[in-house]
Amino acid sequence: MSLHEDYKGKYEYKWFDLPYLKLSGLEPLTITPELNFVNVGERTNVTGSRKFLRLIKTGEFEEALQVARDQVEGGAQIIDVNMDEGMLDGVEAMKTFLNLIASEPDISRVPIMIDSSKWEIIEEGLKCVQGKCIVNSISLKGGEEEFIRQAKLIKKYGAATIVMAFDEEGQADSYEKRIQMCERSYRVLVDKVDFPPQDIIFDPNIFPVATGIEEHNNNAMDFFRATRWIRENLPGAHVSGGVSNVSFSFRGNNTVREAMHSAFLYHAIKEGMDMGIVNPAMLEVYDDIPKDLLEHVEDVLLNRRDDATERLLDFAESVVGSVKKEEKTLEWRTKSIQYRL
Amino acid sequence: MANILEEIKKRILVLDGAMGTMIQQYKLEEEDFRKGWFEDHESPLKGNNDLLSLTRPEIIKTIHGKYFEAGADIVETNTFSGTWIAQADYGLEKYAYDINFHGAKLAKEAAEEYTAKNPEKPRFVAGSIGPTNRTASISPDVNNPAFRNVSYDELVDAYKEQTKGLIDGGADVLLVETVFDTLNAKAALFAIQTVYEEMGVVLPIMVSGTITDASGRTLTGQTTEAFHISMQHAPLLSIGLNCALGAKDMKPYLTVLAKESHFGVSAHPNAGLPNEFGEYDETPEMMGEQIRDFLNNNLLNIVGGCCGTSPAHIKAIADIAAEYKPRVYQV
Repeated sequence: MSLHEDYKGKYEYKWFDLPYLKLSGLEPLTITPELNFVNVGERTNVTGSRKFLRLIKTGEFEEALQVARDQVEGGAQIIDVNMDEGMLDGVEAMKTFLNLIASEPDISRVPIMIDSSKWEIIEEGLKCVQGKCIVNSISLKGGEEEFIRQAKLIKKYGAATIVMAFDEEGQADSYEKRIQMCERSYRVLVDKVDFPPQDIIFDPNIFPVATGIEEHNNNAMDFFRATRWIRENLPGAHVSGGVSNVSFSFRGNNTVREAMHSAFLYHAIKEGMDMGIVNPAMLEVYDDIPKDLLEHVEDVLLNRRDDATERLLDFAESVVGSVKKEEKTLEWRTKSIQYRL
Repeated sequence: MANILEEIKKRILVLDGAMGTMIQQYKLEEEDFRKGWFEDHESPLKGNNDLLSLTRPEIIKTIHGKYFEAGADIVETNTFSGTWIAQADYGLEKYAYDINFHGAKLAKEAAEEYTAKNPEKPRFVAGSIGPTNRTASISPDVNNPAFRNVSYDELVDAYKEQTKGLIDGGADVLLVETVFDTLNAKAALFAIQTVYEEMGVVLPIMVSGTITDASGRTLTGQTTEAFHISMQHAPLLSIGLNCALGAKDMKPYLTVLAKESHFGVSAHPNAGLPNEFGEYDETPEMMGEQIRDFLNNNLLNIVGGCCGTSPAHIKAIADIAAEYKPRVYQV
């Protein structure tokens, strides 16, 4: 069954009259419904990885490229590149790193996601990549005129784009605002910019849950339901998001975080989320999550009971202590040693 | 005036053959490349064939005429290196506009003469836009892989000037060809679309990539399908392949385009692979039979020749193309 009251069962793709979203690095990537979920590597991001930031700051580009290479070898189908850091010349850093990637066929075989909150960094990135990439992101935050200007340019550069659920008033933080802002963005893009609908990927904001603030309790549910609505009502558009955000309040407890990410994706994918920025090393296999942990995590994600947060917090203490979990944690540590510094 | 968008639905359009091979037959000397324009230029200009549209226009127009006579529907302007970037090697950056304007004008005069002779077969001019001699995706310095000797912005600037010259001179179509670096071609498409916005003119655009060898990839490493995806954002009249390979070796990659593309598909292969003297020795008959194989497989909407092809090759191709219906595609 669907988490959205208006729909039934798992989301089934239905926009067969439109072409598929097609991206390219050295090789093509066609986003067909059979792919189910496309994972975007998140480690080449200076805001999300201290190690990567250090490597870029100190100009250790061989090492920085290794971070990108490890992601592709680890199964990332697209890699996200972000250079938004106050201490960096973001335009220059984006250009240098993308130029370097271009000379590494084992990395540049996959499409690039150019990630920045600054338009000038995005535009610089678009001038460096021969393949069809994804811009991450644009939104109505700066008004419709600016949104249209940027979207027209993205189309002219030949890229797809992520659109954040954000408008002049702020970021969408409820189901209603999410669908209202996404629908408005979609109509502007399709009707006024003639943007190919299949090249639109919505990011309807993955916010943390179990923060202790009551207003946050429905954050995951609002995302799931908005995802379903978008996929059912905005022809051809895709849904993506930054998954690690959901477990923000469990920093330091990777057992819980990994379980949350998998459970979140399990439900989001059923509602139609077909792309996501993830760290594969921080992802437990859904079926391997211990039943008791899963129940507590899903109580929180699905907002099933008022005391869900407290119960998960209590439970989280105990999982960190268990022997089995220590092994698990160690295993994770070995797996991702190159990411942790 | 007849519209190429209509003609491409009716029949397989024939593109001309090599310009360079034809120019060689005139055994031109340094003074031919200077006449009336560059008499006092400080460095040698021989071999800069695009200049001949200015200095020996009658030769270029005659060559266009020979290809129309052979049955070509479209001739390419003599502007392959008509950007300030490519002309910088000769110190002639500031003549890029003239090369394009006069190159298009000559071809247009020839086209109008042949259209007047036989209005049932309208002739067209494709403004040839080459890759330049620089690449935006590859560093020329092995010790500094992040370095580039040309930027996207410079390419856009150069291609804008070339596009304006071609449009002002009367081109009917623009042909971004011999694409070995997709990023250069993306800059060309960006420039063309910018000029269209500025001038309020829209001409159909053809794109033709170059698969360098049996790896099936462009010089910058893209597969045919990845190349096609990178070019799809512009409304193209056709996408295809030219140069580097003879017809036979092009077939697998044309098959990919014919299957994937909702644009027309074009091919203008070389006359086989070069022999040890760098010459192409595939005869018109040999090349024609390989083109027949393409057409039997319903691969093409536009066909012509690249290096080593002559009016005789184009006549053989045109005669065969007339027997076939064009590939059908959904726009």
